[in-house]
Amino acid sequence: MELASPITIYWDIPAAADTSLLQRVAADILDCRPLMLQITSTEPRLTEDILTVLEQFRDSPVSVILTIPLAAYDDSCRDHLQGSGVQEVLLAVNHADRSGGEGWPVSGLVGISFPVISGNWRELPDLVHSCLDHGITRLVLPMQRLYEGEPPFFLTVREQRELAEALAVAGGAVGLNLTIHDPFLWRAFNPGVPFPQGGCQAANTMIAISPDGGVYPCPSLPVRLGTVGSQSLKEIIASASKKELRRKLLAHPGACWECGELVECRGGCRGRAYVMHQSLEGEDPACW
Amino acid sequence: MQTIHRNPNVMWREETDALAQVQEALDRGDEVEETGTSVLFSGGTMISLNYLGTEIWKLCDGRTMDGIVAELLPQFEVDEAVLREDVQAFLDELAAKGFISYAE
Repeated sequence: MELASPITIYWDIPAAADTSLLQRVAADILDCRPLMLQITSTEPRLTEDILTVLEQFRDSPVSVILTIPLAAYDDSCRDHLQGSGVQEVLLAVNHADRSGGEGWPVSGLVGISFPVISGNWRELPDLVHSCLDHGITRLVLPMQRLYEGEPPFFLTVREQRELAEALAVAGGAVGLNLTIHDPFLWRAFNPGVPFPQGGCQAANTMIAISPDGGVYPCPSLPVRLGTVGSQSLKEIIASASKKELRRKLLAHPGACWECGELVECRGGCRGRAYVMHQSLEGEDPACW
Repeated sequence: MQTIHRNPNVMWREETDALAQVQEALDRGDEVEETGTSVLFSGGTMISLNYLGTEIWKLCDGRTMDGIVAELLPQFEVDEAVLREDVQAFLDELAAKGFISYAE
């Protein structure tokens, strides 16, 4: 299903922000009528800028999901977020909790966001236990941000099997409401269950705004479509270049045409493949 | 009497551009069944509804089946029995996906 405007906008808020620009971007986002806005901040505390932005969405029909560092979630933050209209708060952590309970909130009211990288993917079974031990039932494995040409993270087929086995031994992720964007990580958590998304949704159901205002089809696909502030988000979403990119993404990568798994993976992560091959025709390295 | 309710967790919007196109097409007497005029999203599932589906969806606000049919009948040139059957089938599909619920 092809949409004229995305249902999810990812907005990574810059650390040192111009408040008036943030307000303009927020108004721009509202104008696009997404169903969900995923705001991510890496600031170690909940700033006035973020609160100002949240206020703009308070009475809107947009569901706001806020991801902040675990360290930012103190009493003051909790107080501010109460009644802010935020639908879900996700606390970003880089490691499973091995402290036996210190540091993590004991609450089912927040979820955990765990950016999976090469240095922590083996902690995923522990992470599942950490969440459940703390009464946390929501876990998100967010899309890797590849705006600046960062090396993409992926598990090889052998590593995917290793993870699937470790998760099975640990009892799986029963009891967790999981969001997994990577079709191959999905497979490790849900062996035999087809990935629910019908292929890459970059520039269709989603659009991403990077901290510098760059607009991208997806946080993992570094093809810059425009810059908020220079153009309105609505114009960028309606642009010919965005539509052309979407047209290309609807076709499977040339390198995958002969592959028997294409019907299931549908080309995998097109962003990761793009970074590796500098082309939309290459295969997702997670196939290797 | 059974009433019909949208699941409050479903996020949805009407697609204004598509709706305008459909209204133009209806004025011309064209078929509009294949054009989505709203998008619904819940629990990782996204569905698109055509014009009739969207009109039914918007009426799932605690009305009864009779109430929904009575509201739609003047808008669509269709036999009441056919409309009732179509609406029931559509609602059952939405209920199976968890997008609406029935209440007594």
